[in-house]
Formats: sequence, C-alpha cells, structure tokens
Amino acid sequence: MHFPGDLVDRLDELEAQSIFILREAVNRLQPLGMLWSIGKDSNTLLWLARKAFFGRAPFPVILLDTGNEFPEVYQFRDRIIREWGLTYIDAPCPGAEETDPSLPPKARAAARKTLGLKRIIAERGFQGVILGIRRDEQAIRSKERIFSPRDATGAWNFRHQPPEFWDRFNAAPPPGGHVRVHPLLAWTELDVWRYVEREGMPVVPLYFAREGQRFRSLGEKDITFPVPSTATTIAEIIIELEASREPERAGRAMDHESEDAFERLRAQGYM
Amino acid sequence: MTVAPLQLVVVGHVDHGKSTLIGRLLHELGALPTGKADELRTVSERRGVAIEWSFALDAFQAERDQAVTIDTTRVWLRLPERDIVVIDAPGHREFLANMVSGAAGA
Repeated sequence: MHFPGDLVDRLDELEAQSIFILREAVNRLQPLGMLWSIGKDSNTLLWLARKAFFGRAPFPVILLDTGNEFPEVYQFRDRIIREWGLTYIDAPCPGAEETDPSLPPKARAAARKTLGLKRIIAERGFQGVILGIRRDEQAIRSKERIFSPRDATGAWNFRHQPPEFWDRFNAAPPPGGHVRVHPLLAWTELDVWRYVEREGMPVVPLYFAREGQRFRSLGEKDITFPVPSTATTIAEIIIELEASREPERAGRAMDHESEDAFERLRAQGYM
Repeated sequence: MTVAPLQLVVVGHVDHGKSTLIGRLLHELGALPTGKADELRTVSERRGVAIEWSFALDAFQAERDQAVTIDTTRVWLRLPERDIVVIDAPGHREFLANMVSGAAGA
C-alpha cells in the first residue's frame, strides 16, 4: 500500500501487490495449482511465486499441453523444471473435435485448452487456479476480477461478477466450482519486460528477433504468428514496445476470427 | 525508476457518455492500438451507427447490443510525463457494485 502522491517505483509496487495476492491464494484456496504456459507472463508469475515463498512455489505448475507448443517452449520447460525444482503437471488437452462446433476454427483449436483445464481441475479437485492474464492484453480480459469465480461447469458468469474492493478478495468457490486468481491483471506488457530485465529472468528465445521477426505473444504453433521486429535483446524489446502502437496479440489468430469469439471462449472457461 | 501511474476513475449518471468520452480521448491522444478505430467502425456499423467510441471499452456483446456499460474496465494511457490508468465505471444503478469495484481501484 502507498499514499496518494507518493512516488513509488512501479515495479516494486506491482511485485508487492502480486506477492500479496499469491499469498492470499495459497492461504485461502487449497488445493491450488498454477497454469504455466511458459510464456513471459506465466514465467513472471512463477518468479513472483518463488519470491513469495522463500524460493519454492508451494503448488504444482500445470501446462495445458496440446502437443502443439513450439519445440523451444518444451526445451525451456524441461530446463526450468530441473533448475527450479518444480512440481510439474502435464495436462493433455482433448482434440479439437471435442470442442464446441459452433466456435470459429482457430477458436476451436484454442478451446482445446479449456477442455484440458476442466479435466485437470476435476481430476485434482483444485479449488483455486492461478493464471498470468493481464488487463492490457485483451479487452475482455480487461473486465476481469483478481479473484474470479467459476461455476461447476467452469463457466465465467461475466454479467454478475462479485464486487472487489481494495485488497478484499472473495475467495469462496461456488458449489462445485473453483476460483481463478489473476495476480498480474494490473501489469502491462512493458511492465513485464522491464521486470524481466531488472530481475535477469530467463525467457524462451522465440521472443527475440530472427531474420526480422519475433514472437510477441506465444501460443500454439498452428495459431500463433511472429511479428516484424529487429529486437534481439530485452532492452531492445522494451525500446520497441515504448514506440509501438501495434496490439500485443496481433499474431494470435483466435482473437480475430469474429467479434465475439474471445468472449465466447472465456465465458466457456478459457483463460 | 518508473513512477506508478495515476489511477483515475470516471463515474456518473447512466447514458451521460463516460465510456464514449474515454474512448474518444484514447483516439485523440493516439492511444488506441493500430487497427482499433477501423474495428470499432465495423462493429458499430453492424449495429446501425457510424462509430461508437464507447466500444473501445465496452467489449461484451451485451454491452454493445444494449449500449450500456455493465462492468468496469481499465485502460492505459502513456503520456510523456506520467502514465495514467483510466478506469471506466458503469452508471446504471443495477451495476452499482461494479461501479464501486472500479472506483476502489482509483
């Protein structure tokens, strides 16, 4: 907490707030798991969790595994599991044929993760799931609560979200449901990269430019595309983003198929 | 050191143009991402209006179809002196709790 008018370092403030949220989640929601897509955001989340709990995340990290991540992502995963001593759960995702057929095709590919997530929650009885989504990356995500309940079907009732005042979080899961916890909602893409730089955090090399292109947002290889860039270091990524007006998720095909695709995905339980 | 942004909430009576004001402000200051204005034009025309700036914030279909903000939204404004987080809050009395959830962030 700080008082109005105080000059507080932005990254210190964000870090403190996220650590507070993580500790609240661990204290109030058990069993608890964290989704780890191995991108910059969930990696930052994992970094914060290790800071919050004396070097070791006190919950398993879960990859919703479609088998379609980039090879660099799987390599990075194996290295980090080993180096950071993580409890890792590989949650296989059902095929696209099992997803809602009324969704557009790329959204159906993404919805595989919703099904994988529902399955692992049911299997492990998770009461809480921590996720690294941010308000500034997508307009529907910008409407999220930090502690966000999901009903027994995993659906997000976005028309009736619980009130959330200051640091008072509603951590009671609905009957048969669970609570999504979003410690990075207040972070921007630039905050994440500045934090990655400050902390000397490792990231998947796909974020750096090769032959004039880099990945700005990482998803499955069949529905994610690189954007033009010359940034080969974290410092250059920060300079690039400070000047850019291009949307972060421009390379994520699932966002652009129809006006309501992302809302429908999230209402059904997508991240 | 990066200074924490100023958090600013816009509250007021329903249908008085809070979201529209913020959406237009983002556009005038060049803070909307590339392609966003065209996208807003397309989804506005689909609903029989030329351009509805509030759709930059009102992303739910229910909000766009009924032209009312249901839940609070936060957007970032990067200015040379200091960043501002603009919080849009609903004005309809039915969504009072959502308004306070937004205001508590300012």
